[in-house]
Parts: sequence; structure tokens; C-alpha cells
Amino acid sequence: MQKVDLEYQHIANITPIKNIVICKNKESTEYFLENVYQHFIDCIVVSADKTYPLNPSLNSKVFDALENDNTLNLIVINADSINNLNIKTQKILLLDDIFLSAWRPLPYRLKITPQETALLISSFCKQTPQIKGETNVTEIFNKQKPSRVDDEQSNWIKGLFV
Amino acid sequence: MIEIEYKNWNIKYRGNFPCSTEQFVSDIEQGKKPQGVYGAICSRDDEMFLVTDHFGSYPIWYKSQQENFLISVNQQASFYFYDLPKQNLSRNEQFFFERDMLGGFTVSNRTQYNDIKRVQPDCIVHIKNGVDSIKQFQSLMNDKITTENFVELRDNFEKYIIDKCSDKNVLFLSGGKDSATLAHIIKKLNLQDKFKFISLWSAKSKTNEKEAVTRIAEAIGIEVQFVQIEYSGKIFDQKTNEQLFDFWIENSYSAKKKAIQILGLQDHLCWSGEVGVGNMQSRFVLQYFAQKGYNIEDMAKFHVNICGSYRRLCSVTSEPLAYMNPVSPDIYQECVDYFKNQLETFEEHPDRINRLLFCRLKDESCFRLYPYSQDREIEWIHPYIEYNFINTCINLPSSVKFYNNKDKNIYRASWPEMTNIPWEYAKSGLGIPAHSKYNTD
Repeated sequence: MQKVDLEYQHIANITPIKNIVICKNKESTEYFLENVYQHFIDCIVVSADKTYPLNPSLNSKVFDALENDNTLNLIVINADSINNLNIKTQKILLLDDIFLSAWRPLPYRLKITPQETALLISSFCKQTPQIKGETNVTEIFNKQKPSRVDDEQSNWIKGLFV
Repeated sequence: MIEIEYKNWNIKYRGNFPCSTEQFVSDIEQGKKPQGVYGAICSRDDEMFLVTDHFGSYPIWYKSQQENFLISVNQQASFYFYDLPKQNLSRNEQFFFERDMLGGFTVSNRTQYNDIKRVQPDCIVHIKNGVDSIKQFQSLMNDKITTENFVELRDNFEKYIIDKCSDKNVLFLSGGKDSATLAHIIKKLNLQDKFKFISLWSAKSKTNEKEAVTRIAEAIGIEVQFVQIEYSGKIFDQKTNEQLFDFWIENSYSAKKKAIQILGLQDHLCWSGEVGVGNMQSRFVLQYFAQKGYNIEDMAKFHVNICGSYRRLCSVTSEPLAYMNPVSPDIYQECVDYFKNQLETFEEHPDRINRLLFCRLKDESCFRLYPYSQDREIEWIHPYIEYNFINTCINLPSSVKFYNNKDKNIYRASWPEMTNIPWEYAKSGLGIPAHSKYNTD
């Protein structure tokens, strides 16, 4: 028992905080943890009402980071989540409009699954290293075919990377 | 490779022989494995022992024949994959399938040809009368947490560096923490005159490694030679189905090799920072543990999903299967089971975070060190894989391994006077195409 408690205490100290997903309340956070988090674990999932993270030390550390760290990647689900928070970072991805387009289709609709939501979040979190770093996307789009057999619809993308 | 005779034993080994010949033979005959960084092929009459270290850093391949097994060391077992005669052997398609699926990585015991086996890391294979039996050790993860003693860790590691330093050495600086720490120690020990410090750069790359290396070198007080490499070229012949990396990020062997050839430093002992203090993708593991607790099933899937060169989405489900091409659900499950088993064998270690952090270390290290091991032109040394150092690092409490959102705190705890510059930069990974398979040249 003592062993578990010690881990519980120090995990907050050693867990790096870089990507935060914020949901509005306990229920929506639990729903995210249950349905989306498993597809992208490189984030800390936070409830705006401070019920998550459950670990008190981590909870305190995360809300402190939200107010003081301008390098965080912040993913917001439900803009109401951040109404009462003084957020320091400007690297924010608000997903509401994408979800609205699926729920109440505009002329163009993005049917978004939990897996695709995870991919969107992942892409957002990888932006900084990709902008600074080397990529081989030009070679890939120009010299390779889409790898999936059902991806002929993806051929149009090639034109963007000429 | 060095060959020695002892009584009626013929012993060939690479690396550092771990003890006296008498002790070594006595130990392996009793099924014990002396710890060290080495590979050894010991044979006599009708039996043979094949021994590899904790990372298989000097791998050994052997031919498995159930009948008419005649011991001939030169023909039946080899440190170099290419030396084994492969006449009448069939290509093992499952090996290539698994490797393609996992992005250049394999976790199974498959090899490129049927009937050729690779001695797995930390194993003794005993072949007698044509039948092989395997003893697997689990030496790196202890059953208790190591006491924090950074002075001892530092002193032992510095002694190891002094012992291994030759008259002519090369150290590659990447701007990262591992190589910067080595450079710091070398300067501290006043060995810098015996070293050439080299850093690679590419005009194609947008990473900030050149800036980081320049600052680190200035802070330490060493001179660095920058070598421009745009394509490191083919190191292995594609016909042999050897690993080729379109871009090297994690595995930089081919670009380093090219630099050594350009500078004509083949007679130098070449030092690399592989595999550091053993942390790999630690952020994901820590975040998951902090929020979901200890879950072997999920973590086993994570390690399969993230391993290899693809670095797929960090998912703890089997759903990345749907996006793998080629894909075999059976092989995927086999790999998941492998890591589950690995975690289960760590259960006696009290620090569960450590268990998760180092679940893939043996396999990833084996994968990274492999190309160095097959180089017969250049002698490579990876000081961080020295058994006592890596064993201590792994078994220290997880609480001392990270500080203020940064990893590899063991270096700072052991050498507190060292510059903090490497910790200012996010890990980037200099991207140089090792070989472009899209080019027709």
C-alpha cells in the first residue's frame, strides 16, 4: 500500500505537461477519457471544474501550468470550458466547430470519429516540431501512392505538394 | 573478433571479455552468464555455447539443423549475418512481413531465413548433438530499487571511459543530452586531446542541432568539426534485404559511417551516445500512468504501436492495425503478448513506473545497435550500454529520473556542474535521408 501511495505522490512531480485537453465538466471529461484518450495518450485530460485530473498534485500542477506556461498545446472541447480560466498559452485548438459540422451539417460535413478526433489533436500537438524540423512530405506525396487500397479519394492531395 | 583456446574449448568473442577464461567457462557450463558487453561463441567436440549480452550488442546467428549437426564454428555460428552460408535456405517471408508492419522493427525471434536463428539478448544457447536449448536471463530489471548513489555511478562510469579511451577517438555530438554528457566527461577527465568531436548537419534540415552543438561545445570548451551530409548513401546492399532508412532520425548509424569515411577516420575508436539512460518515449508512459494507473494490456499495445521507425499514433488500442499495411492480426497479437510477458517478468521490481519505462528497452536497443554490430571496418563503442551503468540507471527510483518537465535527470544528478544547454532544446532529430528509395540512382 505504501508503495502505491509513494508512486501516486511522485508521479505528479515527474509527469511532463506539454499537451492539455480541457473539457467542461466531470462528465464530459470522463467521456473523453473513455472514448478518445485511448487513441492518443500524449496529453493530460483536464476538467474545467477541476474534478480532473484525479491526482491532487497533478491537478494543481496542471492548473498552474494553464495559467503560467505559454508553451503548452491546449485543446479545448467546448469553448465554455475556458471562460473562467486565465489561460497563458496562445497555442489553442478549439474543436467545437468541427464537432458542430458533424452534428448539424453545413454544406460540407466532417464525419468525425473518436479516432479521427485523436488524429486531429495529435496533428496539432506535432505542429511545432514539424515546423522547425525536417520532413519528407514532398517526396512522399510526389513519389508514393496512398498506401491504403481504399484511398483513391486521397489522390487529390498530391496537387497541394507539387 | 578475438579467438582463444582454453583446455579443449575454442572461444571466439567480440567486445569486452567479462572475466577470466576459467571463470567464464565454468559459469556458462553451469548456466550462469557473466555480465558485460560482449558476445561469445564457445565450442568443443560436439557442443557449443552461444552467449550474448543484455542488448545483444554483438549478435550471433546460428544454423539450426536437427540432424547431422557437425560442429564447425566458422560455418555454423557467426557474429556477422553475412558470413553464414545460406545455400538451400528459404527466405522467411514472415520476418519481412513483421518488419514492414512494425517499421523496420521486429520483436519476435524470426530471422531473414528459415533455419537461421539469432541468439536473443541476454541468452545462452547450448547446442549439443544438433539440438539447441536456450536459457533466457532477465538481468536488467532487478527485484529491488537501487539506492541513490550518484557519486558512485559517476566514478564508475568515468573509470570505464578512461579504461576504454584509445589514442585516437571520435565522438559524435548531436546536441542532445547523451552525447553532451559524454563530451563533458571527456573534457573533465582531460581526455579531449585524444578525441575528434564531430557533428553532422544537412542543408536540407531545419532542425536547430547545429546551434545547440555550437553552444554546448563552447560551454564545455571543445572544438567541433561540422560535417555536411545530404545523403548518407547505401550502406547495405538492398539485395540482402538489409535495413534501409529513408530518413534517419533515431537510428543515425549510416550517416555517422558516411562521415567517418569522408574524413578518413576509420582507424579511430568511434563513440556513440546509444542508448543513453534507457528512457524511450517516457512522456507517454508517465502521462498514462498518472491518469489511468498501471495497465499491462494497454501498455503492451502502446509499445507495439509506437515501436520501429513509423512512430504511429500513440494509441493503447489495437486499432492502429486497421491502418497498417501490410498487416497480420496474428503477428500483431504475438507482439502484444511479447510485451505483456516482458512486463509480467518485471513484476518483482517494486517501482511500477520503471517497469513501464523500460519495457521495450532491450528490444529497442537491440534494434538500434544492430547496424553498428555488423560494421567490420570501424570499431564502435557505446559506453552507456556498459552493464553496471545501464543496470543502475534502470533500477534507480523513477522519482529521480525526471526534473521540472525534463528527462535524463540522472546526468544532471551525477554531473551537476555540467551545462544545462542540452535541456533547453526539444528533441528534434536531424533528418538526413540515409538512402532515398524513390531515387533511381
